[in-house]
Amino acid sequence: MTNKTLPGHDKQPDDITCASCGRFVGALTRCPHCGARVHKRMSVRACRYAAILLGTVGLFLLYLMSINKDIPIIKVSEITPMMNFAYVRIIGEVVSDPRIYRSGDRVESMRFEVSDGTGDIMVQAYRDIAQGLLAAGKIPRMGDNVEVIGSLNVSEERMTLRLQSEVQLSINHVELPVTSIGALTPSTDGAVLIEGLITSVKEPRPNSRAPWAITVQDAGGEIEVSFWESTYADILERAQLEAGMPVRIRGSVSSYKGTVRLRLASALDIEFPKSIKGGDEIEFTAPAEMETIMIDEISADRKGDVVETEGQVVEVVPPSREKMPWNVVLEDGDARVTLVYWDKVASFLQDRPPQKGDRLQVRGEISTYKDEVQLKVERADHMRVLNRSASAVAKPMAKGRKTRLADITDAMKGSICTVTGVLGDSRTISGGIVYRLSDDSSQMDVVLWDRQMPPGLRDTLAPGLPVEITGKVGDFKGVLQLVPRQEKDIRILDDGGDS
Amino acid sequence: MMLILQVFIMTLVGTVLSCVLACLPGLHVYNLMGLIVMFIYWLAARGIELSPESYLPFMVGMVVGWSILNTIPSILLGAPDESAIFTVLPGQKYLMFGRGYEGTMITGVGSLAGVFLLVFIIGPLAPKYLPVIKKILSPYMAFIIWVIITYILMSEWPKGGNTGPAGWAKFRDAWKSLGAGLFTFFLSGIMGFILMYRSPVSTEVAFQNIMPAFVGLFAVPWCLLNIISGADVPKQYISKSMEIDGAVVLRSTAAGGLGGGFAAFFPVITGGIGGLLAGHATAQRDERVFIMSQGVSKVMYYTGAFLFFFVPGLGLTRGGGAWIIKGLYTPRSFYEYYMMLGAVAIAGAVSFLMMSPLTRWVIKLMERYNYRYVSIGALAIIVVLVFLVVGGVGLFIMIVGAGIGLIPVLFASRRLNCLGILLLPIACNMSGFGHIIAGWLGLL
Repeated sequence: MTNKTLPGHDKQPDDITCASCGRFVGALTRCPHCGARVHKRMSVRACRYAAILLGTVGLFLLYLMSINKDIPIIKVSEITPMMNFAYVRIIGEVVSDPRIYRSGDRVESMRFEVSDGTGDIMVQAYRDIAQGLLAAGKIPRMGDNVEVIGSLNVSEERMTLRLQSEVQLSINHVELPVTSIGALTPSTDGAVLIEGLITSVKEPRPNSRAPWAITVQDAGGEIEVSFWESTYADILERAQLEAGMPVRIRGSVSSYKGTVRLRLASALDIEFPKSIKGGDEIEFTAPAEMETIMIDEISADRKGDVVETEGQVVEVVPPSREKMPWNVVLEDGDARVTLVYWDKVASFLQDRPPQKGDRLQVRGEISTYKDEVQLKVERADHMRVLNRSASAVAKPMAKGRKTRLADITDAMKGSICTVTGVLGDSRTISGGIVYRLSDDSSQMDVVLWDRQMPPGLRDTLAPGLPVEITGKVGDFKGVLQLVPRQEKDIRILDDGGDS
Repeated sequence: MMLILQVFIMTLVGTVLSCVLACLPGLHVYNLMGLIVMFIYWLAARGIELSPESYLPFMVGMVVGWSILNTIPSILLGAPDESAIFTVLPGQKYLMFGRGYEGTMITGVGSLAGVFLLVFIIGPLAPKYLPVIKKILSPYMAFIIWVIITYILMSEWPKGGNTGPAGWAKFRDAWKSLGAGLFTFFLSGIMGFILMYRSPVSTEVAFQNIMPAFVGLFAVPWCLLNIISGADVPKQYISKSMEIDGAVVLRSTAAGGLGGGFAAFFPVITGGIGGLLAGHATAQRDERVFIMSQGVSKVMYYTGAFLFFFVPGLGLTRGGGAWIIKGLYTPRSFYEYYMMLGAVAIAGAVSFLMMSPLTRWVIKLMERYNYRYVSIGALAIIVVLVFLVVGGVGLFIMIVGAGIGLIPVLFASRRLNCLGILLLPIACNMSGFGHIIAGWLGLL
């Protein structure tokens, strides 16, 4: 043991220096320099136990205090920047359609605006909480009364309330009275409910970012209702989204270039009732089942009728020049009829156009052209291939020319190809995902658009997976890529062969 | 011209004020900024609007001045904020050898190097590169925070158990400090959940709801410890030379710049962690590099985080200062950015020039007044400040925090474990299960 002390330490209390090496140890009970035990005054030792007691018991009391504290209800107008991070409750009415932001099939956030009469505040939920709200069907609609609890985020420019859990949103759905379409003006505020008949359905082109647009008519007038592809995908009864179907829609009014439109925010806001009452008490009923007739029953006498029929494709005549229609001759026994459709419809058919030998079910309006009876097809999904012709199936081109990646050239842009290869790394792009596909000859990007592929598909695809992909050859910034259009265009293969 | 003069004067006022206040142990610049912002709101409510050119340079001056001059109490009075804990070990050694002035000045040189790094390298490059870096790293923030937590917990070494016969007693001795560290992290993490999800602090001053906990976890335990242990500081000598050369400065700047810069850029990572990273990069090499890197790291963290708030196109809010100012002002263009960068340069120069006279002044005060009384005075100021800003509830939170904060101090584990208050709840939130744990705790 040494009695050596450092300069100036001669007046130090014994218990803050090491009795063994003489160095400063503060409150430690073992010298960090030589490891010797240092005897402490009672006060220091007592402090240790007091600290643990204070820390644990105090924390428990703080916890009890917090969970028993009422969450204060505040008015939006009373929020100040000093309330940043405050945990509060706001009761009010939803004044904007909820917006749901997705990245691929993942929900990134949901937000909507709430007014309590004194002001508006944006309520936001992120990722898992937004996903939880969607899963629980807790999607507020404009006009609903809500009670939200969350933490405030106040900056100089805006304030938001952030939901911390899906249980913090309570919704009291408010039923709205039916408003006549004729009564809607650009100044119509808030949510409205309309009932009417769908008169037209405008589907966005593949890969376009345009919304769906349907026109709804009641006795008071007609209005265009728009909604995004993601909303369309959520509509359970989307097969009923047809001209002539009665519909009940809740949405918010907006105006575009002076025209009043209705915006549909959620798939829950569109219903297809059996019968409805129009704005001026005019009764609409759902149209009867579509009449299915034989081809030989189609005649000029029935001009204007919308009918459904089926037959075998015997001839496909592409348009000879711009603005001319496609002609498809359908045969059933001895009877024949020509189907006509224009590029607008053809662009949606792309990789599944009717081919010679196909058995086709088709819906169209009977019309005449140069005294010839024909069936005018307005939508691509009004043509359904019941049986692909044996010859068409046998031919690789029916599905897409089977080829190696290295053989795909610029000249093949727009054509359909089928390629077998192994998936590589993926990257997310806006509205979809890109996989690197490689075979023994080369590599190429395969683009899967979210609007064309089901959300669950991503879970089944992974790097290293052998697949057969049929898609249209396209290019992006001069680089060729393959774009399948639907889930069945992707076949997962076993290691050595087909799945 | 008048505008430039106004910015210059306000920077100067903020810097000088914070330099003097920084000499008081335990007083944190964010507490003062909170008070000032409350005062600005109070004025605004009475129709007196201050221009951003008045309060922004003033705030920058405060942040820069404090981040540089806070070294004085850290080394001479042993009452550092949580970011200075690593300075205390070699710094306290310098103090006990009568070389407190030298230790302070070495840290000051590091701080000046940090200001140079910010103004001449990071400042001009930040608008171009930081938004890109942020975009690249954003999806991985949660992982990075978990890695940091793992690093903090696993890099602590046992303080005992290396002597005596093998057995449970030795095992217990070895695990005492480690266990205390883990226990501290757990308790402070639970406290963080409570304060973030359901703070008992009044909604009127919610923007300061974590402040009393921080004061309790970091400032109060040091004051209490100084009072209890009652060490007498030996006579301090004013040295003419700091025995540093260009290599020491460069190594310190690289280590401290990385550590502090990391802390300034990533969420929840504070100056203490930046100091830990810088310290681990330098501790084994040279004590001077260690002390100086802490100076660089502190400036990089406090000033850098505040400056990043103004980087156009970055949209980064890091550090208490930026969060406090966020409710008051939203940066919009390069106009404010260059104004702030200029203010950082002026404040850095002024602060460094004030370092030597203020260190001498504090040393004189220490010779005249008992170290214990200084700590009692500092504790009283802290208590009054917490009461003024947050009220009685704030005092209760501060006391609980002090109980938790005393555990690592008295059991010789790292005080950095107290940062569980931010790290644990935010890492859980960013990983998407924070609300589930809050639900288990009944906080929702």
